[in-house]
Amino acid sequence: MAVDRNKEKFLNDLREYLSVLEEQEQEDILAEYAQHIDMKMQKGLSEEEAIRDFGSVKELAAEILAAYHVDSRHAMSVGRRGIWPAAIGRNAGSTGIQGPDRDRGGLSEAGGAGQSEEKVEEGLFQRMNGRLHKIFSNIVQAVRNGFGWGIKKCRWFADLCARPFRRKWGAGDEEELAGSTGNDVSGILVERDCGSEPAVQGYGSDADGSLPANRPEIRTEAKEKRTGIMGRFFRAMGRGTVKICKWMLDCSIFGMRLFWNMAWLLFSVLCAGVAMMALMGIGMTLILVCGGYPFGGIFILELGGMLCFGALAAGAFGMMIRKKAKKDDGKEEKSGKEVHYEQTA
Amino acid sequence: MNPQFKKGVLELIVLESVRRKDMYGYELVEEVSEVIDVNEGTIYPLLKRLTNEHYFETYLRESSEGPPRKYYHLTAAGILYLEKLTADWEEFQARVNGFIKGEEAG
Repeated sequence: MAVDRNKEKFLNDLREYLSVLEEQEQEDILAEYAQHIDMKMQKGLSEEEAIRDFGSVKELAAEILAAYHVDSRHAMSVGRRGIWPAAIGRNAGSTGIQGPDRDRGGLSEAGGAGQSEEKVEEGLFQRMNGRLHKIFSNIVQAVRNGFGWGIKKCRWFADLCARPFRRKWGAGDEEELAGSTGNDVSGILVERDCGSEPAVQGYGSDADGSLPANRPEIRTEAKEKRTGIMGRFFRAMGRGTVKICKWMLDCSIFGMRLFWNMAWLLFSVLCAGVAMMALMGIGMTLILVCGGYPFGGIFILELGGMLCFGALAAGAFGMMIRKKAKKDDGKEEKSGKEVHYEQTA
Repeated sequence: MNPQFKKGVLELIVLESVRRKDMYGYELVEEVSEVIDVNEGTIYPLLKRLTNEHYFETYLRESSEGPPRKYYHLTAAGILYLEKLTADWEEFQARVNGFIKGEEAG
């Protein structure tokens, strides 16, 4: 019974370490290891011996994750927290091969009695990293205190500049934030070759509709970044510039439309004037023709001219862009949509 | 043998083994173990990586001794990759051998 627990425990432990991978991938990997253990047992080895040959589960899991280009240092943020030691990912690609030159159990248990030199070095780096972090934190704090007054003034100036656009900011921020919680925060975990299938669950796509536990933290960080003073100032500048550009574009469009309409109106009036003169000529010529004068040809010419210029005047008038007509169309469309929505609802 | 040496050639040995004959995981581990002494667990991640990179493709085949076994087959991309690795290895070992022999002669 104890033997059965060993195999089960090994597979369960491995599953937990690989929890960042998709369920199907986990099953695939575990099935291979289970089969391997079974085959070794068929050859006469005990289960315990068969499992022992795999070495440390953590190292093994780190190597498997490395095959998926997943850094096991990040895996701890997704899987069960605390099962991954901080240093294991650094050796993901280098601790795999084991022979007579290497102690099989050397790195197997974190905090065990037999620590290797690598672990000592890692501890040193961790301590150095902690001290550096403290020093930088102090520097940042000093800078913040020293330039507090300047920061306040900058904030006041940014608020002043942004005041005209403040109402739009709120909506924009929310839109941007909503957009940021989609796919763009996922890149930290996986580097994948183009041919590979996606294997990390919960990141990049919310297929199951649930967000990972650390998403709210990411969201808060993103919001904090976006609400920095300089960020707000530059965003206000950007929005102002966009607004001015839009206004200039609207003016240009309005001027072009005005020029276009005036040109066609002038042409239309000229054509209409010529058509009217031709109509008058037709009347006069008709009287003369009735009086016996031979002006039949002139009468036909004037009739043709009147029809031609009349048509040109109508055509030119039709070329004018009428804003009101478009608005009416828009209203019709909108009302049509409303009707459709009501029907579907 | 030096672990670093083994690490470098493991991929080459695995690819060459599968080129000769389609193999399932355990069979491949045994084959590789005859050449170099490796941790059995490390072969599977390597197989997975090579499969993800499309150098291997897998298929299941029924077995009389138990459940179906997953066999690995070398793809065209895998053959090209193996040829490149082999050429690299030959060049590398020729240079190193030349250097060592030169040192001994000198």
